[in-house]
Amino acid sequence: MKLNADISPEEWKVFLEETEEQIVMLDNDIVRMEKESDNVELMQEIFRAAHTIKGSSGMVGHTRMSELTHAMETLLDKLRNRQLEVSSHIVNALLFGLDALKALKQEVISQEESDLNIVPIVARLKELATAERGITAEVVAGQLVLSPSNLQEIKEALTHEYSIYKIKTGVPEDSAWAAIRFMQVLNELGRLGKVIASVPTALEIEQEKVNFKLEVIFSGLADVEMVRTEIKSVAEIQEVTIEHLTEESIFGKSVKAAPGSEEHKTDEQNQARTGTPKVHALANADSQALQSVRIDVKVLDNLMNIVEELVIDRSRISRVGKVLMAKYENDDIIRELGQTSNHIIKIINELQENIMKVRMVPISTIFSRFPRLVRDLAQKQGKKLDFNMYGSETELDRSIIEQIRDPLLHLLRNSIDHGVEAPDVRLKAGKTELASVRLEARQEQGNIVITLEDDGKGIDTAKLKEISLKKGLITPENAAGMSAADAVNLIFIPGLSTAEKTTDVSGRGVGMDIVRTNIDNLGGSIAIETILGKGTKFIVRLPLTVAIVQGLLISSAGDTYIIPLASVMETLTVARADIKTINQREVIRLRDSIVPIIGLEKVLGRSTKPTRLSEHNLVVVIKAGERLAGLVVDSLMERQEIVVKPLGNYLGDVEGISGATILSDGNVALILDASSLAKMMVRGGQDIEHLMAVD
Amino acid sequence: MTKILVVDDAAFMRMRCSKLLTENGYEVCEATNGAEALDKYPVYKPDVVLLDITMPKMDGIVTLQELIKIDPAAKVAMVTAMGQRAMVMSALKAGARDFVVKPFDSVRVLETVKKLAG
Repeated sequence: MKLNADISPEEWKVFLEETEEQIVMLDNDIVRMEKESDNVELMQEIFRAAHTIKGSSGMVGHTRMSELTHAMETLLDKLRNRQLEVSSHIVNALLFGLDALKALKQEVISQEESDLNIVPIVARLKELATAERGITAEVVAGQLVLSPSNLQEIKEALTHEYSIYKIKTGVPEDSAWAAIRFMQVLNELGRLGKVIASVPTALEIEQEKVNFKLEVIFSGLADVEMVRTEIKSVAEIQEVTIEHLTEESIFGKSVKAAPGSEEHKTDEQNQARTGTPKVHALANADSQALQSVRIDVKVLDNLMNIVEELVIDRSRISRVGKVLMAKYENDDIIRELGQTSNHIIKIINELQENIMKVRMVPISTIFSRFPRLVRDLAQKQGKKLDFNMYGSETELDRSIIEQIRDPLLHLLRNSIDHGVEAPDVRLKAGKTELASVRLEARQEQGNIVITLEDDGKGIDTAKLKEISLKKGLITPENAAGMSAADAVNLIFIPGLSTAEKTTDVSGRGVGMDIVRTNIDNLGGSIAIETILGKGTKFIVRLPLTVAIVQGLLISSAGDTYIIPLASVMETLTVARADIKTINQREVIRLRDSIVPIIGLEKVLGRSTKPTRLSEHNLVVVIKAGERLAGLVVDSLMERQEIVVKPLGNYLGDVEGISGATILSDGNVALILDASSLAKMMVRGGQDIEHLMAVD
Repeated sequence: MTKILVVDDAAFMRMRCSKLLTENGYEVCEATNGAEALDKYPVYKPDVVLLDITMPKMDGIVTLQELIKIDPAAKVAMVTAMGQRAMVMSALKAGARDFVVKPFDSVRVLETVKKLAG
């Protein structure tokens, strides 16, 4: 691929970042355009985005990219100037162009030219841009005729001993800028003296009613060569002939006066230059926008790491401080040390909060891609949708943002695919043709709540039970005692799909169980509210951040482990008598559920012996999705804010362990991963799964 | 040293322009939008302004009109794109001296700047 070799790596980076930003913006805005063609700001924004990419891609030498964006821009320009109406054809063509643009951007990254042919796409865009165009530039081939007022002006000029010139010039016949060049010539001459008349007139030039020739009558003190140099300074201007007119030649024969001909517009021009145009007071808003900087994500991650180290030290300082204070309560120096360390702790807290804030990214970074997707899906399936998003400005830690995209996408697809009915079905059900899908994000007490609500057909819980039974995922006893609210959660069991047939939209093997697992892994939760025939609402709760979490410290066989508090359902002491055995597995009854229990050492594979049970056993009930499992541990310690560190490449993925942390006493502790622990417990005891599947 | 004020909302274009001009012995000051350009102009007192037409909020034309109010002799060259003839036309009417078409070649930019500065 031939690109501009003169671009530095730093410049490439900026180019790619900026282009990506504009593409994301276009992705969202072009879809909005269909609904909001009256929104002037929006139309401007779309135009500018295409325009920016065109400019930059031209500079980097990506000819195809700039050709494509040029075609898009031309069309968008017509739309924003209302020379064209927004239609679904146009939106389709623009989205098509945008997809091609994404592929072309990819070329820059991979440094390999794709086989994408943009010619038909460009042709289509051009066709649409010209289709309804009513205005074509009229080419006027007039002759220079002076009006009485022109002649009066000339007389006055002559009395001041100004020279009068008749100037002829032109631009090449393939110039796209003839009118502009002529305007420049008139401007240059205007600075040197006065343009008395011209063909085409200033007004005609302004309206681009020009061919490739220009004739001017000019008065001024400058000599011929000065005039020539000024005119020649305008690009594209070809030869310039200048004729010095005498009084006699003007009023005798060479220039005829013709009453009633159009007066030229030099005065208007001057007025426009010195007049007082309206300016909006935007200075404040603009300088506000300037108060942000772009930071490399790596720098942010580094900062976060440093703060995490501090958070660990904070716990240690606090612990040592407590010990010292208890021991030397009356010592002034210790007290002073205590005060200082308290202050440091306070500062570290603030620092942590602020860094967390810096890492926050508005959820719009993923939301912005959805309108396009929804439109495509709905169109493909012939469904009519009114899709609305709220709270796009809600912020989440960027690591969560990255991981929540796929689950949300899946929910959205499901909603359109299975939730919303086709227009005719809706009409029969007494609903409006237009289905409503609403996606909302908001902050709620240290959590982010994302809801996806549709007014579709709802989830048939009876059918869910039936299928689960048929597939052997639940027992008839389970089914019988199951409320509708519980039954709806069957949707999260692996291997269950209510769709009668899979479409290419959803049902690609990624099930709701994966959605739930992903959300669980983030320390979040998902709930469903559904009314048959009325609609469904998914409620996803997410923590604001995952890097620092609340953990429960436990000890087992002399080692300390941490269970994220979000995975802990409860802790209890269980008497040996309450532990039953089903299929050689120990279980306890917890309210309505049967919960398998197992020693932590055993499940982690550190001990092969059966779990030794005492008279009274400490059990931590963990929750992974719908699964509950009880871990038998030696003791429960404290609750602590912990910094989750990955295990690193050396250890790789260890089943059951999600990471490690440094405790306030300086020791390293492993962080347990509830969902993989629950899976590990189920393995080897297939029938247990049935018992655990529903709580 | 001849001072140039480069006004463009696109970071990449600013970077390119500044690099080119600096390499050719000009002193460059950048502004990322119209309001900033208006703030910087009286302070920086550039010899030439390269002003992008298409910018959010205050576009190049409005910025130009304001600049001309501050300094009627301001030497402003508009930076534009193919297909923006009408905008260029309004800019010329509003007092722009010249313009450069994006994607621009270095020679053309330097020529324009040199002509205006001279």
